[in-house]
Amino acid sequence: MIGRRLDKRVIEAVAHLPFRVQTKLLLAFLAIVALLVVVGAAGLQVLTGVNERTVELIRSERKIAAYRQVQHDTTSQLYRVTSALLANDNRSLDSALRQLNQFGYDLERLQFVAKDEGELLGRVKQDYDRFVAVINKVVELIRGGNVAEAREAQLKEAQPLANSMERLTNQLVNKAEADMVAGIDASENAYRTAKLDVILFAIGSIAFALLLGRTISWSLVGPINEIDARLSRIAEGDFTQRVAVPNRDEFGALAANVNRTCEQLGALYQQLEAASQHKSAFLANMSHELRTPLNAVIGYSEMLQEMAEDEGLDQFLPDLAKIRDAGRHLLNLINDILDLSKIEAGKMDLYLEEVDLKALVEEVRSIVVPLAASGGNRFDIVCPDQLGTLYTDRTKLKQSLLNLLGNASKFTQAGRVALELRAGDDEVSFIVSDTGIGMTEEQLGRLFQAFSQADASTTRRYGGTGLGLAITKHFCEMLGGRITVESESGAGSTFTITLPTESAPAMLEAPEPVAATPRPAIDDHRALVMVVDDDPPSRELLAAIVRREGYRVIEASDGEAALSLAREHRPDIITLDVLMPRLDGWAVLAALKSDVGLREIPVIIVTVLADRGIALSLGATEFITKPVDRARLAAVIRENVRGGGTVLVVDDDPESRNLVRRHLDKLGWTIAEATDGGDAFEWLAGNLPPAMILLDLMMPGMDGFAFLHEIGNHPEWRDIPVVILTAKQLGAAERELLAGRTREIIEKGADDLAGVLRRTVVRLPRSKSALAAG
Amino acid sequence: MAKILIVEDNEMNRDMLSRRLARRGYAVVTAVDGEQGLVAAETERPDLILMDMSLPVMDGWEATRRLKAESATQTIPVIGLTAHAMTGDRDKAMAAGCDDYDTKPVELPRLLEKIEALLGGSGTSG
Repeated sequence: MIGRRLDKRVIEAVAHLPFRVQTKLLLAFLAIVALLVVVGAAGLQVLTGVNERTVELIRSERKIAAYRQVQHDTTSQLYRVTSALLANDNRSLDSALRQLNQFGYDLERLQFVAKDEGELLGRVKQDYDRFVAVINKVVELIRGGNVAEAREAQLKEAQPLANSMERLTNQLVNKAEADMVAGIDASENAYRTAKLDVILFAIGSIAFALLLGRTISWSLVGPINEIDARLSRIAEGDFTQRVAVPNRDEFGALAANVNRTCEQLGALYQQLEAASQHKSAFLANMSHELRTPLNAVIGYSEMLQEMAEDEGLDQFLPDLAKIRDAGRHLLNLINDILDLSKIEAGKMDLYLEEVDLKALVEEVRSIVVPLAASGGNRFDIVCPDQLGTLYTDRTKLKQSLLNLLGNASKFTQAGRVALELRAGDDEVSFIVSDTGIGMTEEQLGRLFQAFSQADASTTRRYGGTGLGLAITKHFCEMLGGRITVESESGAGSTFTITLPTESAPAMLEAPEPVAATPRPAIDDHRALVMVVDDDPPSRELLAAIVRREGYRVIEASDGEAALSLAREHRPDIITLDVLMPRLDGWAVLAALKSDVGLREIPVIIVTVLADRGIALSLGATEFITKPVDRARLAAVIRENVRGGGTVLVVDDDPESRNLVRRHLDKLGWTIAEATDGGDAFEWLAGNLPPAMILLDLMMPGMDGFAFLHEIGNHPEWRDIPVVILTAKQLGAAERELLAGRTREIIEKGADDLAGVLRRTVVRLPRSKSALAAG
Repeated sequence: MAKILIVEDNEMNRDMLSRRLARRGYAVVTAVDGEQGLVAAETERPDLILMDMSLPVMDGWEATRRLKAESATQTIPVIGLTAHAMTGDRDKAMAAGCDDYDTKPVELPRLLEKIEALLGGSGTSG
């Protein structure tokens, strides 16, 4: 772990070096060459050491040979001298003495060779000198004819010296040999150590070179990978993140370039996204604006038609019918354009359900028979007796079939239009065929494109919006199926829609119905506000404002989090920023509004943009521009977090009731008033239970204590939360009496009645109607 | 004779719808926004209310919620009308308490069917 971190540090440090890539590579190369040189030098040094030791050994060997010679000479000299002394003739004696002298020279010469064994050699020399002296004395004695004394001297003095010399020379040889063995051992040890050093050094160098290579490569490969990953994310449409590489080389420049490109693409993407949203919103608005006058055109023309019929003004009927038909046609066009724009904006929702095919076919038949008949066509339905169900979007399937059958009827004269159903194992085919004008290859090619009927003149001749087939194709694909066509010019066309029986695409599953996902039980009944903003300071500011108003807050820092939190917590109201990375506010709004479980949650758009119209047309409840006006935000939230019902104020003092009414009105609660306990029970008897009863204690008639006692006897009312609002100084006993039956006791004349009331009511459970809606 | 309250802000639509319904023998009263609608519902006690959803002052959803919350008016059937063809509009209208729902421009025969279905019982179905 630490190693990895260190490794990363080093790589980053290398990446951070302000050199160009080739400089870094050159430096690494030079470093490795330098290492090779060092390894070579170390090896050379070891070789030199080995050579020196070899020379040393050779020298030792020579020395040993010399010592052996001395040893040999000593033995033979002593023997010869002894023999000469025994021989007892002058010639032998002279020769022995001469040789003895020669041996003395040899010994002296040896002293120069054998410095190490100087001491031993000194003793040999000493013994030799004394031996020579003894021998000379023995020779004198012999020559003087005193042989017996000479023998005596030889035995007693010369022999021990000779023995000592022999021993010493032996020692000399032994020591030299021991030295040599030690030398060989030392040499071997030294060689081993040197070899190990060289090997370790070499391994170290290789490791260092590899590490260096790796570090350099990763400092180059890392940013490439990073940039590659980023580019993939960009390709997926995520423009938010930046490439962060420590490099200050060409890769650093590349990363900076990628970041700049990404930013520009992101900005462009947002613009496009916004433009697309604007387009959708515009279309939605336009269609609404167009429908309103059309409504009047169609309605009035129908009305005039009826009136003309009633009054026998038959000559007006055909023209009035034309006005109405033109209006209907225009309406269809608008509907189709709206459908197509919703499909293209990805906002077309699917409502999947079990569809009874038999019933669907009957519905289609009733609509198509008159259509087909108007062109003198026969309409046949061919389907097996046993038709099961299809799990699909009923409306869209029906619309698709009607589109195809409508076309077939339109483009066929005095022929046959047919709908055939074929059930496969896991799919159902709907085959719509006609014997009409058919299409050429070229016309087939652009058949499913929007606004492209087979021929521009077709539109004039046959009418239609040219959008039906494009919409039908989209619908089929949304439902997990497909549409195919076969046609021959002049001989008719056959369209086949094939849908899966069961498996509608998982992502398009119908949302859970509201009732199936109850609000999670929470002890804290204060309303929950979700604040969605990607910018932490503004999010915190919004959250702080909301908290100060006494609500609970959850925060979401992006669109996706917002959607998942909304599903999880079902907030009572959402404030939504628009400009956010990835999923922006419009997209979140659209997603919220298309989710059956969430669409009732009021959404307040809080943004720097000035697109109030878009916000409202996309389903936002309110629109507030940044910088946020606290009071306005608080007011908007208060207005939209519905108290969900009524607070019954029971107080004999009209001033008090007025004061409470003013405060609670602002919080969106409806106020009912009663002047005493009896009055309150009358109200309760005639109305739905209120969300809360605000009760004064001191009243004429039935007072607060009596009211509390009495309401305890009514199971239908005794669970209504009661808050005491009183000017009475309460004793301990009274407080205890009240504690079990009331939620809170508020003293009149409290400094901040508004605040206390607000805190009390926002803690109330939402009423049933609010629950169902929220 | 059943009395129908039309709450609709667009003058032409209001005029047209009221005349067409009147021709079919209904007594028609009108209101131009949600608040007036509430007042008219209280004072006129209609047998059925046709409620446009996009209304000024107080929108149709809110007006419907309030109608359904008041004991005096909660039994009057309400048909919500919107010019939006959004799929969610129906659910939204029903959630607000509408008894039925239709889109504008109205197809009169279809709307009449719905009106008759709601009035068919005692006039207080729903």
